[in-house]
Amino acid sequence: MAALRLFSICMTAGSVAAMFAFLPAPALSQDKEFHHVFDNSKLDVSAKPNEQFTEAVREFHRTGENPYSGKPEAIAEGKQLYGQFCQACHMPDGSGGMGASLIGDKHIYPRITTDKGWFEVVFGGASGAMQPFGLRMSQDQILKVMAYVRTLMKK
Amino acid sequence: MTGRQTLLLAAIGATLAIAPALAQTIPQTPAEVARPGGTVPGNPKLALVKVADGFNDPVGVSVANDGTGRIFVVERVGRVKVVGSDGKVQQQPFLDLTKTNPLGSEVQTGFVEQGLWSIAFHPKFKENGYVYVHYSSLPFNGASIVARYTADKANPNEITKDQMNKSVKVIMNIPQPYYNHYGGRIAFGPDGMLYIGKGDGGWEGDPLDAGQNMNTHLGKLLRINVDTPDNVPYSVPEDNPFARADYPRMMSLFGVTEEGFSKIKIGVKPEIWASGLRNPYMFHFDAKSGDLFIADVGQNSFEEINWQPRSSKGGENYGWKHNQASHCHPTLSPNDKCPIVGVLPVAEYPHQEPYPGGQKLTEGWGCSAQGMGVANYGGLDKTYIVGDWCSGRVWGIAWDKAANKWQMQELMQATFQFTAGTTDEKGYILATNCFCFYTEDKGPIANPPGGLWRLVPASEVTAGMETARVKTPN
Repeated sequence: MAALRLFSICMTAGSVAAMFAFLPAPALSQDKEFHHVFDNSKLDVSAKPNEQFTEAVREFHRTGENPYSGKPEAIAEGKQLYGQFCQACHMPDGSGGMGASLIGDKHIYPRITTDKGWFEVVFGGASGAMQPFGLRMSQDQILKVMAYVRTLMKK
Repeated sequence: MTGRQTLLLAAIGATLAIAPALAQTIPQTPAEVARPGGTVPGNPKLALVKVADGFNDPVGVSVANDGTGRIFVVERVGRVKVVGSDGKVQQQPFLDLTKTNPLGSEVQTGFVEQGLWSIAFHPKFKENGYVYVHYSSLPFNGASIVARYTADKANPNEITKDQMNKSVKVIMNIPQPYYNHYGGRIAFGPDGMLYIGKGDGGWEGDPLDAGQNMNTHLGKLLRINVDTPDNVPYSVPEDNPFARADYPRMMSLFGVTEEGFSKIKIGVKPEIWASGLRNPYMFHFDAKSGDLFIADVGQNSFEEINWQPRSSKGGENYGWKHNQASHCHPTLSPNDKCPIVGVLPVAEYPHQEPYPGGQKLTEGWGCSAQGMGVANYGGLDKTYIVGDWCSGRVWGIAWDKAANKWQMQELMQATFQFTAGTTDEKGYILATNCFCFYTEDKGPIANPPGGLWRLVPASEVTAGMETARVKTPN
């Protein structure tokens, strides 16, 4: 009987955990605030209905630093995503074409020199074709793309 | 000459010296072409206010001018949605080209420049119910089709599938060589004729030389008369500039002037109103003056805006592919030398990197000019409003009487990818935006939904209105 009750408690706890896994992750009070590059209005970085934050995203929200920087696996995935979403405008080497250059030290939005500011531009969008990629990619994917572009900057 | 005559002439001379500006003119030299950095008369403070959203790749917008205040938003997939005067979007499409053909959609949407682009309402729509659409056809391998449908007065907010199939009249079928540069907008001019913006047929660099080849409809603005019997698709207006240029005739070698010979153009398409265009996706008539503005999308370097006064007899050649705006094509450097072919634009703006390998601009650039309509409010007078597809910049282009030149001003920069525009029944500019840029396009119903916006004087924004996120240049 006792074994059955324990099983039942475990099941309940598991169900509750599973249930929370699908709820949008609320922003924690110690998290950074993110702002749109145009008017500094606050960006909503809470998880989308079908998005589950990874530990990397949670850490990024806390620190504003991209945990994927320099991580080969994330960089490899970021390269794939860059090819899919970014390179037609920014060119394979990041030198820019239809879109702005991502390398060098001249930037339309100075804030992109920090991970946090850079994320704000990619996630929230800037203008025209630089759309809010938070509509198309998860925040985890955006961090991986950023990690890949960092490698272009260093070349 | 008497002293009195001398005085009179002196007075006339003085009057001329201080006379107001000369009439609005087309630039005669590249230096006269307006560029970003000017100030349009009125120098207005404007805002973009949301009208409605939730549209699948909205790429066109029109109004019926029937007094209902309805707005018709064109969805690339092949549907037209109705927005009521209360801003509510009717779920049932006004017109749906994806359902009329039992074998599948009527509309080819494989590439982002393909789809349904435009709907135009006959000037007597209220009486005859005629609407015209322009789209790339799936059954005709991407050819562009102009077709007429008739709205049922008993069901004014929906042309049902049965009604569409019963009433369809195909006006034009123009084969398309490549999957880009179709043009798009169709609109009735103040003369009651239907104008059709046709791109050069695509690829890049105009490999078919369509802009200059008068034997093709591609790379042109076309003008046709659709008020014909039902068994006649359309007729060529007698006053089209090349209406008779290809008429059969006896050959005379003598007694004909060189000017006379120059008017013989064998094989020329009589529907041509203007040539030398690359991709005139958007063009608009000014309701006030009847003047015509054409936003011709450029290639890698410059966007151009052309203007014709109401008095134009047509026949303008805007120079593509010899020129790109007021520059040479191919555009290689600021020092390029080449002849200017035909008529110069009134305004132009650069891409971020206007010359290969040149310094990248951080201000005042774009990549694709989408005309949105002519504004005559909020201090603006006959001002063409153009939104850019890449940079979200909104430009105003207007003749400045005081300065006696064209002016181009960046009115604001929005976060949007602008696609199209028109003026509503009250004359305000309407604009659409999508999330359908080339590299992110996932298909016409898979992309994030776009919106419909109204450009209003900032002083008319009231509490409760949702305004777009914009930056105003310093």
